[in-house]
Amino acid sequence: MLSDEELIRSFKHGDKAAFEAFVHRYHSPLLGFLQRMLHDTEKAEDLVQETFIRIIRYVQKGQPPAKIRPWIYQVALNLCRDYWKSAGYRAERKGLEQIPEQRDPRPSVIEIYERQEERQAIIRALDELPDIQKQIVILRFYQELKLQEISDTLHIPLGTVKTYLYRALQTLKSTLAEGKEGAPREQRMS
Amino acid sequence: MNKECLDRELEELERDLSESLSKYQVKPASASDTHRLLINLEEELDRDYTASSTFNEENALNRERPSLWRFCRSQLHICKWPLWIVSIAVFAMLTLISDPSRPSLLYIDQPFVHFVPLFVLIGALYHYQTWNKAMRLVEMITPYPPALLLYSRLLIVLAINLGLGLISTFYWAFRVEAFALHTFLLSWIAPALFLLGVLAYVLFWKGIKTGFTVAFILWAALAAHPYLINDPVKWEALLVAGHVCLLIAGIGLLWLAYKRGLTQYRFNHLLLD
Repeated sequence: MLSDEELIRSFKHGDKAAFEAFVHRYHSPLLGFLQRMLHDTEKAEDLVQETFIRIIRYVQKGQPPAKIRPWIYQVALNLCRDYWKSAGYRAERKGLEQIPEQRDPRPSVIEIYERQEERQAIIRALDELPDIQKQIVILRFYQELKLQEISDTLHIPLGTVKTYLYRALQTLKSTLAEGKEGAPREQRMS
Repeated sequence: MNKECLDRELEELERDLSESLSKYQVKPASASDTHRLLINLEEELDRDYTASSTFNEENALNRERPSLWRFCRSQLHICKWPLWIVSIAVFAMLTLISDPSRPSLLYIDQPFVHFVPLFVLIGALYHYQTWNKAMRLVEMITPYPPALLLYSRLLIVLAINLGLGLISTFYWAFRVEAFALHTFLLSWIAPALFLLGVLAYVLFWKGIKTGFTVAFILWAALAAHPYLINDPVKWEALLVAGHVCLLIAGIGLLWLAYKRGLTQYRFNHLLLD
């Protein structure tokens, strides 16, 4: 399979189809990343489109970077940061209770409920982390980036990535374990 | 905490949490979502193309020629662990059932000599079948001819088999005293290279199915021909000469196939530019 760098190089040299292939490859991963960063599917779809537009403009006018994968997440993350700073975000900010429901018609109602509970517990646990740690965990677990790629994406040293990831995972482990232990108690009380 | 300790603990934590975190699913992008996104991007793509048309014309002529090394590197992902396990198991079995210590003229009756070229062809066939799914979506719409990409996969299959075959051969060279290393190497490398050369060459001219048909028929003919000779001792020199010819023909056919792939690439380029 052609590498990302080869596709972007072909696109820069005038091959529009190479960019279409690149979109096919990265649409889903970017959408997943932005949904997890924003908790808002519609906004994530808008930002995915904006990310690709930025990439098109940059490739056409500038020199694409040597490593494409960290770069596209960097572009997407910068768009998130701009969005978080915007007045629109502050006005529209929704609480965790309004996290959109997972749409999966196949499993039973109980399964959906259980999954939804676990899912929301993970979202809450991730949101309790400092921003940088949350970003590292999402890039590592859901986007499957290597630690060096995360370092390139966030512009922080590799050692710092490891330290942050370590702290984040320890926090997540204890938060999720507490959640599991706490669940039966809560159920009993209700 | 020192570096190694941190790495180890990180790995452990990642393992512990991977199952829990995997439950955080989000809406995946469907094919129709991607199609809609591409339509939305169309305007942006067209605008930039109009604005930079001079750039495109200048650069289309200087577009990078595909190098075989780059092709092979981009296709290295085919070497997944099941392939290695199967290959190693087959070569181990062939090494154990063959017996080059037994006096055997030019090793014509050794299973290793017959089955390694066959295994090379089967490996190529396996990669042809899996090839469609992974490559077509991306590669069919780029200017690289799929046949050239498949050619690079054939070379990877050949390299894996040659590597494992050499390990087996050197194992015997150390274990068996009266072992004619050069003759034995020639007796399996020459047919393997020849058959792959035929496959690659016919693939570019007549298509993949014809390529495999011709290659498998030739394998059967090569496997049968030493037994058809009445007096192998009399024909010893001829057998060696035959293997040398096969080796030269194999390398030649592989080279011609590569040249043909490059011609196809240039032709596709002219059409696309």
